Amino acid sequence: MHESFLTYRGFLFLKVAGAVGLLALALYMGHAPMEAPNGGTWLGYGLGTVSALLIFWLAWFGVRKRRYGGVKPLRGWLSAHVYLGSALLVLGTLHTGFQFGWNVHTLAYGLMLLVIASGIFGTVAYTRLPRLVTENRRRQTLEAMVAEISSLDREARQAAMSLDDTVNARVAEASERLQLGGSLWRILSGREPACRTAACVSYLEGLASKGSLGPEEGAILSTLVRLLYRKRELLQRARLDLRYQALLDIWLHIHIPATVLLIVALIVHVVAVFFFW
Amino acid sequence: MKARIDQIVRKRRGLADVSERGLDVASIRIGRSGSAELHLADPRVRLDHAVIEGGDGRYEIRAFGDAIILVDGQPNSVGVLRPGTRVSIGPYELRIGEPPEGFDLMISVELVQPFDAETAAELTDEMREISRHLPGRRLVAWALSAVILAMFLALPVIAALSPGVREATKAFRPLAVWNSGPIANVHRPIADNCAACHAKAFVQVENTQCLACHAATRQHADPRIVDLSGLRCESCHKEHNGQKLATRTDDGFCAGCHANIAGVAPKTTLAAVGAFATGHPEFRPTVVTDAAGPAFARVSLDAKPAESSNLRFPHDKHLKREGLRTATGVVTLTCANCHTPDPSGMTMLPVRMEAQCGTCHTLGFERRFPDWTVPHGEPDRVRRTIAGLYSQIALAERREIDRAQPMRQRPGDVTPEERIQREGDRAWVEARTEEAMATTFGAGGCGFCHVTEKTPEGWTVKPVHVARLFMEKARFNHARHTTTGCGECHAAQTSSSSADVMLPGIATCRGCHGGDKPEVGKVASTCLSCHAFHTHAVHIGSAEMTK
Repeated sequence: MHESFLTYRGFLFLKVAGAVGLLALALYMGHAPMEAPNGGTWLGYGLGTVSALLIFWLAWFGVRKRRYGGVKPLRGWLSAHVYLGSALLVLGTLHTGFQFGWNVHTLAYGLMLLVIASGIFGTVAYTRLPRLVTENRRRQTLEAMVAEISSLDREARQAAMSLDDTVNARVAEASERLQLGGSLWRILSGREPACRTAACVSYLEGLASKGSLGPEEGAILSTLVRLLYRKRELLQRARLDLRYQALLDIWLHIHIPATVLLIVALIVHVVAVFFFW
Repeated sequence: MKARIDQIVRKRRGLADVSERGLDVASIRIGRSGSAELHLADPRVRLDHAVIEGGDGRYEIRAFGDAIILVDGQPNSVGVLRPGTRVSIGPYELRIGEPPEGFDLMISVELVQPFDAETAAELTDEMREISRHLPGRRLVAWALSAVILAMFLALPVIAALSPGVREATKAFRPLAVWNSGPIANVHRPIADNCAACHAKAFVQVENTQCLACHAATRQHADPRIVDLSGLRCESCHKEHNGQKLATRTDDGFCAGCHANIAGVAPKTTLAAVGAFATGHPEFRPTVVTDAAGPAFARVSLDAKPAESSNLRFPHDKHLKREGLRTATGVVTLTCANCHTPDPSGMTMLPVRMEAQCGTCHTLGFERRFPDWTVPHGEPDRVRRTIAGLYSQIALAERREIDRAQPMRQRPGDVTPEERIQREGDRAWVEARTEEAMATTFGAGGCGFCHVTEKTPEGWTVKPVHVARLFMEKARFNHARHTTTGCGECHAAQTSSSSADVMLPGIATCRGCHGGDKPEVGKVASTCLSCHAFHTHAVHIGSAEMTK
């Protein structure tokens, strides 16, 4: 049976992460320093050291996974990365003692949150999206969808030949000004509000409902509408496919640079704290 | 139906490769599916796209569902197949020809619009590649890392090491980004001068930095008993944690020595004290144990101390709920009628005879002359006042005689009759005065409240001694307890004797106060809430406090 990284060895790392988080929480609750809880008490130093080491270890995963040739699969590593990364949220937050300010210390914490949040996003995306991608593709690749769209375009233009100029112009516009992909925001939204094909379909539907065409022209029109229905559906699926692909990719564009910045800020944080000890 | 199918594969330079085959089936299914009789391997063709059916020289093509076919260039879902008919299915063209001998149907199939998979893949790959919309990951990481290193490391380090740079960049406060929390209010004047405390890089704040300002602070404990010289100020006084300078005040800190104080200072008279809620002994107020001395002693409330004050004052008689009958009607007294807080709110001002008692208790001594009162105080002044009144009475009678006998003598001359009368007057005044003194100092007069005594020298009032402050070792602030009624702590209503020490026991305080870690519903109160930190006369700067 396939075992996902989330359920790896009966949730081993979820249990480890949960235990670490609860232990930290229990220590924090029982900790009553003379001053407000902060990163400079014995518990603060302890949580900070563990968190910093954990950050370096988690970042090492990025290096480790790029190394090919290992015998063991990385599923265990990924499982530990995800769960211990989530435990870092507890450890790091308790290390702050909930003292925040406009300083390098809170900058490091903010970057840590960004890395963890993008990581959680990635985990959710990798858990949920592949099934949606498969469902949406219906055994057709994006390449096939694009090819079919262009073939539908050709057929639609040919079908529109015998209809009047306005219809022709509309169909031609739907084919020439076809919009798939586009800006990042467009791709992530998975929609195209100014879709010419959809506009053309509504126009033709309106035309058909008027019933002003003869039987022969009417039959052609209904075929044309069916062609464009198919094209519109393919476009929607292609856009959704692009959206899913983008969602599967985009978090890494935050997760990785933010990790680099976190490590830099973390080092500065440690230097600053001990420079002015 | 017997059909011949020629599949034409067009090669370069227009050469065609034709593969022929015959079929003998009821219908010809056309589609991408491998099981279709006419298998068209192209993604633009549906799995089950269309079907050719018919017989007896009439054959029809019909599209499945909403699949599209073009019959002679016209989109249609059904079409009749005759020789010369062209049917488009996706990128394929089906041409119907004259069926050869032995066949019912002749179909030539050609891929007229080849699927350029490579181009399509390039196109879709480009669409998929979201990184073309974003700045490079490496670029972002390196550029922002450089910003962080410059702003949060390089600039502060340079500013910390170079006073010149610090001065030049003062307006930007480059070191503020290192500040881990708000500076205590008292240190705000030096908040922008990190070096005032952080003198050396990578070295913890040293006591010398504190003593630069705080040398006059007194030793926290007697250096002969407790050696604090090895401690860092910072271990108890934490900075960067808010408006108030964090100071160690937990019960455990004090109890560390005081729970076993005899072990620390063998000659001490202090009792062992632990946490307020559990380890604090009953209060030991300082009371006057013998007014004659006077002698003072700290007596535990458990031992029911009796104060010897030389004063008789029953609180219960004054605080009768039904009120007191006075010359001006029935008056109900409250605590505030006699007890006024001092301006600090800590204690009560002393009760004065004239201001408090005097409103009801007059000091008259002669029923016929109620306006004549003696001063509250020295017996000699009392005697002079009384004698003065009777002398006036005597003199007034002499004036009557003078008026009857006109003056015929030189002033200063005293006739024998007059001398006899004066002797008589003096004796009368003396007698009346002695009588009045006895009344005044007796049980109905001063003796009502005071202990009086007649000695050969005259009447005396024993001096009154009351504790000015019962709890000398603690600070109790009445002003901070005004929401609590007096009677909740002081049992004045039922106290019939001034010997009663009407202090509440520690149990009363514990009703509200719960130590440094109070249970729910109780006020947190540390040792320092009531007790001052012991300070020794020797200044910190003078001993070996500097590391």
